[in-house]
Amino acid sequence: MTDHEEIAGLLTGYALACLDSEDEEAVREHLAGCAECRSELAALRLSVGELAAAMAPCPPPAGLEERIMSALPRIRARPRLIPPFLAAAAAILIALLGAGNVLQWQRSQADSARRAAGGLVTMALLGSGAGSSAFGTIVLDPEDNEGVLAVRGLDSPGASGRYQLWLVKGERKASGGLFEVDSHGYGSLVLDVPADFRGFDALMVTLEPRGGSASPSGRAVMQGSR
Amino acid sequence: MQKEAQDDDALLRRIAEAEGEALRELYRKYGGLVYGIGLRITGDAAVAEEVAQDVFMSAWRGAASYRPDLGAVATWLGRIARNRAIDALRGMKSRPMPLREDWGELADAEDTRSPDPAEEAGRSQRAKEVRAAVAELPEGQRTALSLAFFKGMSHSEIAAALGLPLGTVKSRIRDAMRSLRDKLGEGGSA
Repeated sequence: MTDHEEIAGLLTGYALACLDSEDEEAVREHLAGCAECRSELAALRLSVGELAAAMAPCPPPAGLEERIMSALPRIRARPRLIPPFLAAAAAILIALLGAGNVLQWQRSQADSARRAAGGLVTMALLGSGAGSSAFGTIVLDPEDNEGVLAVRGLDSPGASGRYQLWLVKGERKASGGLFEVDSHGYGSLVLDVPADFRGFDALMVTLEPRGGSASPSGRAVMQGSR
Repeated sequence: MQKEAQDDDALLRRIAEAEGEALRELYRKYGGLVYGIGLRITGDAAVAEEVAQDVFMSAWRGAASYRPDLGAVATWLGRIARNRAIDALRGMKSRPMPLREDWGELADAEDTRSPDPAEEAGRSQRAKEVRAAVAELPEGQRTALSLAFFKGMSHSEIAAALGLPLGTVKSRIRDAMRSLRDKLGEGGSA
């Protein structure tokens, strides 16, 4: 039995999250390089969802709706809620990227993450792989709650693709959102950092399907770390 | 069903645009389903409530990544709710009795009305098909799948609980899911 056949036999358990830890790790590693198994996994997850959706509904307790709604302001994640100082930072960053100055500025810094005036934190991202000219930077507020990413030099993701930013903390990764680039390779994104990813270690950008992915499915095209 | 799917897709797009009222609509439509999944898996009302809050927060954050081609909104929320409930169950100090057959919870669906009639109308036919497909599984496959799906037990835990070889458990669960997929086809994306 080949590795592929062996892993394919474990995909059902992976979709149900009932694998023993060794098997789970083996499947995760295999998935990174096997589109066939990723496609099979997506179909199996759909079946898991179907089973769950066939369960009997129960009237939720009174007050749950309002408790959920009242939590929304604390998890704001949308561009129109961006604080003015971050909006200004984004505009300046994009202008600087246009002049090509940010890369030079980034390379002049001793640390890849640096606390700037006013407590803002900046991090650089550089294109991965030989020949990549992509670069970018992110500005985060002092508490790591939210930030702005601006990039330059990425190829068009095509009509069916989007770039996706990932926050990396230890072994875990969380999506930071999707973005497109214009015909000049410029792109930007307002980032809302999930509470359990504050103080993240690194950032990466991957090319994903248009609707994004639950976990990185492609090779990193940009990376940066603190 | 097609219009239902289109309405749900539009709802998710509004949530992705940070429209809070759209999340409220999603809750009113699927809150009963999500809470019910949490309650039946964990057996604890307070934990089920936490699960439901977590699921709708995930929907708020992750609406932009929802892909209609990978399943209906009910399926997407259902899978998130089931996984969150299993995580919660694993974190509970005393887990419910592990060997009880839980597929009866699916069969009870007809007797339990959703808070939203539209939710019931949209889901009931598909739920019937799923229940029928589960009922047709051989008993051994159904039991192994039940312990994985409702209890979050690992392959080796199930093997120990049922006194079966590990390979038998793996193949029973795999065959059960394969059989369900064959019977249910791609209808869940509508």
